[in-house]
Amino acid sequence: MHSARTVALAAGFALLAAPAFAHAFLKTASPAVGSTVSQAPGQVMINFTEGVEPRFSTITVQNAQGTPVETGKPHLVGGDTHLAVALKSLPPGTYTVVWHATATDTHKTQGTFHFTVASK
Amino acid sequence: MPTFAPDGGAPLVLARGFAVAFMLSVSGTLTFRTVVMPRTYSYLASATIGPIEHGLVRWSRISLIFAGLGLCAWLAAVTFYLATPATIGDWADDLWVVLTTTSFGHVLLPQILLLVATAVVLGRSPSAGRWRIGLVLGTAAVILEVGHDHAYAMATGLSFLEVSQALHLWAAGAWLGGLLPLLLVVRLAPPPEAAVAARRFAPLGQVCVMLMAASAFVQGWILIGSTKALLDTAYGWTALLKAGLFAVLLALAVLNRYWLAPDLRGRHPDLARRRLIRSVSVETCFGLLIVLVAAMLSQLMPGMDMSMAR
Repeated sequence: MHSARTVALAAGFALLAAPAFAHAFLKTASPAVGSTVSQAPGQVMINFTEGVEPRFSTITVQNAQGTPVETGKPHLVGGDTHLAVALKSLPPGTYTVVWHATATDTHKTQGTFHFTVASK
Repeated sequence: MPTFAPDGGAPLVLARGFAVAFMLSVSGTLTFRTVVMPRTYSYLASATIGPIEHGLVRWSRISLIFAGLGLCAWLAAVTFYLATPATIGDWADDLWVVLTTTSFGHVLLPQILLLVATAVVLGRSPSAGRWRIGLVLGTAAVILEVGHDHAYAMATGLSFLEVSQALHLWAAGAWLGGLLPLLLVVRLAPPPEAAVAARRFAPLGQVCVMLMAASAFVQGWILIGSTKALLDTAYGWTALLKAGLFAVLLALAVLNRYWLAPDLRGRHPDLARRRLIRSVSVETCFGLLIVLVAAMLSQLMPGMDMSMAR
């Protein structure tokens, strides 16, 4: 009886746990937002606050001259909240990531951030 | 004043509202027929039962057809919003992509199939058992609406918000979707017997009103997030508008339940019937308006997200 009540209470609290956001916003990124990395990354990965649709989401990465440096289309990595795009071999410099996300409830969000590849 | 910019614009809001309105009508008509009418029929002369049953079957069919068309229109609007196709041909190609590769499509397709299954089960002249099976299928199509909303996208498992939205949808269907069937019975049945239907509808309506109010409060609490967001955002203002319309609906329902419906058994039943028909018609119009406002709400950024958006 005691354990059944505990399970019921736990289930109730689990259901009560409020979600954080209702649209897909950037939660974390790799390379991190505004970071300087010593080694050029092979991809940019963004972890969103909710699931995104890869066919209708984009990640573009541009160098300081505005030239795109990503290769291929964005793809999901281990679940629908992580979207990544592969990159060419990046020389040192500052790069701009522009993302447009379409969440699974079809709402669109967008954002920009920078990262720097340090000189050797 | 906040900026009202729903995702996808007016076409998407209207398509969504149209689809949801008719799906609520499907659920409401089937609930009305299954819950309210069986005992009501025992009070009616057989000459009255036939036209009422025929009317309910016909309205179910119309609701199913328009719900299906509404879902297709919504699919087209969402596709245009997501893919921004350059040509009609591109749009057609993108429709298939949206339907088969997105979460939206993965929910919409079962909804369409459930509506088709409901129509097949009901057929031309459904038995009591077929009405009940139809009710389960039609209600399932409505409940799946949760899969299109913020709560489903936000949660990693079954959440309180999703349960709240499912209850809200069921209650909206049973109450608002049951108004036109009630109107049909009030029009066709003799006033004293129409009073029976109104009286049997009342407890269902009361339960639905309480569920809708409670679940709306939960959703508002979570999705708006703060008093500032309630007063400063388009989402908050739209939620307040919805609450205002709900208050009007409630007032009309109280008027119908405690004044107009009982008068059907009074000294001037035909006058009472005309007044009740007018009142339920107005109530239905406000119900439709509230569904459109809810569609707008679903396309706006919730107040809880505004700090991230800035």
